[in-house]
Amino acid sequence: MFPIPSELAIGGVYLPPMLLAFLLGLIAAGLTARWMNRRRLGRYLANPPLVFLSMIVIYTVAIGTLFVGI
Amino acid sequence: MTALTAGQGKAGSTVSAARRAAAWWSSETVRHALRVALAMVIAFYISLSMGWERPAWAGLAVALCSLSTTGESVNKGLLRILGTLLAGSVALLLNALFPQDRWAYLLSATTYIGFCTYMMGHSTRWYFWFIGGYVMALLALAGGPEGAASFEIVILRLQQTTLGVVSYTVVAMLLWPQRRSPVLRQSAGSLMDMHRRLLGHDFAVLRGDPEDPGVTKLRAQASAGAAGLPEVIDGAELDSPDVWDARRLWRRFAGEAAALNEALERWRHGFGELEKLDLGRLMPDLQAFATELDGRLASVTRMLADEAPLKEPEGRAPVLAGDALDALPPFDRAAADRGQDLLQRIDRLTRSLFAIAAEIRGVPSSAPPEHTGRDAALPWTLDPDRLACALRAFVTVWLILLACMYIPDFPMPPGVIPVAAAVGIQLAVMPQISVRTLIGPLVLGAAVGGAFYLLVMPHLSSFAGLGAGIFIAVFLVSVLLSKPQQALSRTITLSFFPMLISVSNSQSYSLLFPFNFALMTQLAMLAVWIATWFPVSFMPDRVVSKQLRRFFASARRLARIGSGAGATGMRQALDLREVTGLPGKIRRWFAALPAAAYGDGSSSQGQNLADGMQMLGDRLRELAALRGAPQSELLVRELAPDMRSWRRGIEEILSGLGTDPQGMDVQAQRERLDAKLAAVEARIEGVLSSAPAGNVSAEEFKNAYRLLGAYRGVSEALVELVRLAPAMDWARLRETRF
Repeated sequence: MFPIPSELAIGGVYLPPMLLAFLLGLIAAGLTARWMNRRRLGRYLANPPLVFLSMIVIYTVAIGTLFVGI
Repeated sequence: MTALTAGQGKAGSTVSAARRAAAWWSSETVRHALRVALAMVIAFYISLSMGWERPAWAGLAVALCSLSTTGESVNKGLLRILGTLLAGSVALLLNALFPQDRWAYLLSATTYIGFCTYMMGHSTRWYFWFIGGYVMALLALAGGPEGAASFEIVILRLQQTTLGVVSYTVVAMLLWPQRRSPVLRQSAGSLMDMHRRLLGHDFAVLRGDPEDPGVTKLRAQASAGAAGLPEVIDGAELDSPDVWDARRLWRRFAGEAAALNEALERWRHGFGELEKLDLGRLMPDLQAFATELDGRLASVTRMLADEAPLKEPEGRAPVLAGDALDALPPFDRAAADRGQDLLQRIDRLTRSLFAIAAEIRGVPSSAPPEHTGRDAALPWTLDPDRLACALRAFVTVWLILLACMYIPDFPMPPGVIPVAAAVGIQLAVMPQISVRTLIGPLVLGAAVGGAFYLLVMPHLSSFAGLGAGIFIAVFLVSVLLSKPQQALSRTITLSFFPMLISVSNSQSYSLLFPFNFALMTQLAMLAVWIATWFPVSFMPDRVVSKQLRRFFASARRLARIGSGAGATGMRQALDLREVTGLPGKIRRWFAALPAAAYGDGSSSQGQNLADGMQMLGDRLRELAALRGAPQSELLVRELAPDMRSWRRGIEEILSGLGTDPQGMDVQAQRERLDAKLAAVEARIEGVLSSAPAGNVSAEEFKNAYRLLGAYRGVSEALVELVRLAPAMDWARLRETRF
């Protein structure tokens, strides 16, 4: 079962779940890029920035669908 | 420990704590923080009491124009006011030209922002163009969707900016005024002292002493000092009538000091050839001249400190001994000629600096200033790196504009567009900085201003409370973020503070405002971050690779041109700018490379490579300048086949450096170039000995030797570069990474 989309309340301020999913996606993509840099895996990529943007999108959708609920 | 000594220890520590507190209180950090805080409160008070709207703009002017000395602050304040005037005029003009045409308006406005970004690299007064660019975006949006209030908004912005600048200037002039003029004298004196020490070291190396490892740092300091002197003059001339009266002299002084720095570098680059000569025989007066220069520069330093000079300039640059010179083979003679030319230039420049310093002191020297003959200015060309920065600013603003237009409820469009424009434009003066390093200071700035807005301001009911609150907050920020490495955080926090607290005579609060503000800054950063990748990448490893390719391509084109072609045309001018300017840029980008890009190497190897490239660039420029000199037709005709072969060799080596620097065989390349030059040397000797009397004039002889010296200089610099290149881990440098 996927989680039901709901807004996040932080001290009375309501934030969209997409924002949280995006932030987590950004962090996950950053960590993956860091790991790939350490392993020198970036040299197999034609355009690392494009891959990084793609990773943000994939992680955001995956985290949003599976954990946050978007 | 006895009770008595314990008591003494306690009293002693109390006294020392009191002393430390007194020292802290009288420190420049605290004084500066007090000045900024007081000026901010005064600016807000006047603005609110006059009933002007948007007092935050006055506070912003205080935050951004409050520098350590009055002159610097006035200079920056004037540039801010003039930049606002330009921005306001352009905003109104665009409103009038495209009132109903959204796309034409946006295209013109963003092109103008790109133009301002490009112009920032033009002079020390880059702040004028920065304000002219980003304030235009701000004013265009602040005028509302119809633009009906645009004129009032422009006037209001000018009014508030002037108020902020005047408030800080008055406070800075009354409270512990700090003038820029002593800094100018101290900077100029220390630059002359560094040049004196460099000259002393260089003469010692020529005498056979070993190179001092600390001299590299000294050279870097001297170059930075010479490059930074015009900016110091900008500030000093505004807070000192003496400097204002002598401002033309000071500007000449800065120009001559920069020329001396360049001449010293060029002279040093020729040491490889000079060390092989018997300088004691060729220039018997060299040591006396070294002593003379030392005394001359020491006198300039003394005069800048308003002391009497040690002595007037006396000796002249040594002249080559004719008989010893005639006995030299052509290339050695060329090297000696070049060395003599450069020593004469150093002599003229130091005499000129002496005369200017004496005139600034008000006691003109008995030795009149000499014409120092500047290097011919190159024709105007576009700078590809500045163009890339302009493109980044253009793309950043377009990304945000499109997001505001097509994403529903995009937060705060009137705020996010100017913030994105400001960051995009500002990055032109520090393109190496990573966008990630800006995120922390932006969050801190939003947090400090947001906390004051949400937690303190609702409890205030009068200006007394508000003023005290602003004073304490600004003082604390200025003191706690006073270290030089915290300058970015301090500037951002102080400039966000007045914007976030949004003080007005009819105050209202919105819980969402600080959050939206923080989100807005991060969205602007996202646009800047994307524009840092697309369409031109600003990742240090990508930039270094591109700049290296450009350098070698330009060097190849310059080496390809035949003798007598001269440095004409836009292409050659661009190539000359590239080979002389790129090494400095590459040096800065090398410093910004991630450790992974060096692989097994280190950053010092990158700096050495950049130094080698600078040497080659300078030699190519010398060669290009000498090609225009009149040459003997006989020599040109006879040497043409050998020179063609030499040029082909140089081209091939440059191609190899551009494609596979690691695979270059230093020894083989040296032998190859040496063989070609030996052939040229033999040919010259043959031609000159068999040339009919009067066929080659003395001037043509001299020019021929100079040209040969320049060719050998290029060869030597290239061999040195080939030697340095394999030290870098090129595979790691060229590897793609995130």
